[in-house]
Formats: sequence, structure tokens, C-alpha cells
Amino acid sequence: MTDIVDASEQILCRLSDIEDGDARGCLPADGQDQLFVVRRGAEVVVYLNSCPHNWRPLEYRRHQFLAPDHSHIICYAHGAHFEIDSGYCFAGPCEGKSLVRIPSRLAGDCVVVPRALPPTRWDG
Amino acid sequence: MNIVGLDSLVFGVDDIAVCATYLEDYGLSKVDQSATAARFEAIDGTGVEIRLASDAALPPANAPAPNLRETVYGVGDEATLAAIASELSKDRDVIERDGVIHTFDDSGFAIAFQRTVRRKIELPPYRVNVPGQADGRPVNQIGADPAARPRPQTLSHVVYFVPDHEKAERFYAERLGFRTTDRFIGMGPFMRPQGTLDHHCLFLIQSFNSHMVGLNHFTFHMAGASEVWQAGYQFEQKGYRTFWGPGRHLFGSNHFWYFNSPFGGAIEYDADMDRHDDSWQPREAPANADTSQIFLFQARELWAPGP
Ligand code: FES
Ligand SMILES: [Fe+2]
Repeated sequence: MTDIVDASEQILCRLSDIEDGDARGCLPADGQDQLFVVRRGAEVVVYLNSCPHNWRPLEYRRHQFLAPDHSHIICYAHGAHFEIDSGYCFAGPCEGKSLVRIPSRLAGDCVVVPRALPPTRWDG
Repeated sequence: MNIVGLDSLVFGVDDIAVCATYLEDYGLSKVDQSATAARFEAIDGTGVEIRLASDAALPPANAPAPNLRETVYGVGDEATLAAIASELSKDRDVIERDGVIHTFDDSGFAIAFQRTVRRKIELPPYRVNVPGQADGRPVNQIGADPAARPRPQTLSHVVYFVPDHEKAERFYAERLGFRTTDRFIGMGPFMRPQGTLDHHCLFLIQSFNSHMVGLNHFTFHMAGASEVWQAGYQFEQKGYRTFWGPGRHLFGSNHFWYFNSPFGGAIEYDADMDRHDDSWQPREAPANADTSQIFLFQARELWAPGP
């Protein structure tokens, strides 16, 4: 599998690990998933797990990043709402700001992102 | 006015089952649950009510769902209830239903008042062994019990984002007799009603945009720091995500551990809050990392040194 991935890249998870329409936290460090992936059919979007309000993780429980109807992303710290496709915050404390998008590609069933990632931060 | 503290927080949520599991895992006791509503209690009968956000029985929302829909205060006597009704009906609609007074504060939050549901609780002493002091644990009594399941004792405080913190503070101070115990400059006051000495049961945070509305966080008192840490650690082991903590605040001195939640704001475990009477002079400080806590830690997986 590794031969399909460049040395500057890393495999995050498998597309088939994520139910269509759902999200998944990935790349745990110190008990915190650094990135999360949202699956839409055969496509994914990957974001830094860090809300532009207080730069804290978004989910309230492992992998719980979305509204119950999967229509948008919610930061479960203070309820910021984000569009899935753009990461744009359309309601909540950081309205007008956006999640940090991580470029990604699919290599077969593998979700692939760069090895070099922006740092997760504790404050803005 | 003899307002003794928070009796209940009512939330409009998207998924009753998920929120019910969350509250049980947090440590509250289920009183009842249906497909559209549920109620959970701490040891003293204060607690949380959840309803579907679309429920017409809820006061109108001031923030996108899920969020807080009503804050219910407990009062100590009928005279206080009557005084509140007469004071607030001077300039706003006040509805009385089944002995509960419902209205809105000056920031758009639904508030209610009732004869308190709080039960007097007598719990075994929270015992710690301190050199030079009597009253530690009795000899041969064990302190660290991995099977212990610390339970929230009583609803402690709620925190709102408000459009104008000075106007919001005036409402609670002038209309309901709340005392400001301390204040973050430019952010907002910590307030306690007259029926309790707890440092705060309400904290107001200035919003800096029109979308920063509704709940910031809410919390229940635990018996002490060790219970905050053990309950928080167990909660995190279940997959729930820390927002901030564990640590210890400066204003209020309460130990804290905050978690993200499906209620529109964070939930906290707190313990060992300062108590103040009317002789206390409010302090003020700018809100920053140094003034927000005296220490801050991060939970780790259990670990042991090798041989
Ligand atoms: S940290 Fe995300 S809404 Fe506050
Ligand atoms: Fe708090």
C-alpha cells in the first residue's frame, strides 16, 4: 500500500472506515485527534480539529463532529456551525471565520494527507 | 430576595437519546426519559431537562439548536416568588404556570422561578489526611478507589454570552438583588443571588458578534478536587473530549474540568468554590491566562515506569 503514497504524505484512514455522510477523527496525539475527515460519497474533506473560536477540538465525543442530520459541522464547545464543503462558520462565536482545510487525496481506499501539517494551537 | 440558586436548566437538543447517554455518563441520575424529553438529576434534586429543539412547549430560542432554552432558579419562600413576579411584571410579560414564574431577562434568556426543588443533602464527609489536622480519614480507611463513581451533588452555575454585559449585570443586580463577587474587566461579572454564599451561580461573558449568543457552559459541584479529577478522567476514558482542564480557577477558587457537549456549550465538573457574604469587596482583573487559573493540566493515559 505504501508504494502509492509519496514520502511527503501519510495515510490518515480508509474511506471504507467512514460511513457515507459521516465524519471521523484521525491522527491522535496526547488523546486528541489532530484532524477530522468528512466523507461525501467517494469524496472527502479534511480539516484541522481546531475551532477558530478558541482553537480547541470540535467534537464532544470521539468522531462526533457533525449535526445529527449530518448537514453541517458543529463545534461542540460553544456551538459554532460550519459548512462541510468550505469549512466556513455561518453561525456561532467565530461566524465569518473558517476551519483550516488540509489538502487530501484518495489513493484507492486510503485517505492521504501531507506529512507536514499546520500546528494545532491552544490560542488564537 | 431569597433566590437560593439554580434548580434546573432546560435545553432544546437535536437527539434525546445521545444527550441522555451523555448525561448518564457524566454522572447524573435519570428521572424519566421518553422519545421527546428527559430529566436528569444530581444528588440534591437539581438537574437538567432536555427536550427536542422543535418542542413548542419551550420558550423561543435565542441561539441555533442545540442550546439552553430556560434557566430555572429556586427560591426559598413564597414571598420571594411574589416579589419577583411583581418586580418583573413592571416592564415585561410574566407568565405564571403551576407555581412557576416564566419571563425573559434583558439579554433575551428565558428565566423562571419556583419554590426550590433542592433537597437537603447529608453526605459522608469528604475526608483528606492532612498533617497537623484532626478529621482525616479514619485509620485503615482507603482513599483511592478505582471503582468509585463520583456523582454530581448540585447544580452549580451557568454562563451566558450576552450582547451587553453591563446591561445584563444591571438586570440581575437591580431587579433580582444578585451580588457581583468579582469581575473580568470588559468581559463580565461573576454573580450570586442573595440566597447562597457560593461565589457565582451566574457568570456573564460579553459577546463580540451577534452570533455569539446563548450558553457558554454549565456545571455541577463535586465533593472535592479528587472527585473532579476522577469523574473527569472516567468521562474522558469514555471518549468525551476535554475543552479545558483540569485546573483551578482564581476567581471562585473552584477546581474545574470542562468538556465539549451536545447542549450548545461546554459542561464542567467543579468543586471547592469560595463562599462570600455581603462584606466581600469585588475584585477585578483583565481576563487572560494568568487570571483564569492558578494551574492547568492535561489528562494522560495511565502509565507506569518500567522496571
Ligand atoms: S471553541 Fe468552538 S465554538 Fe468556542
Ligand atoms: Fe465554570
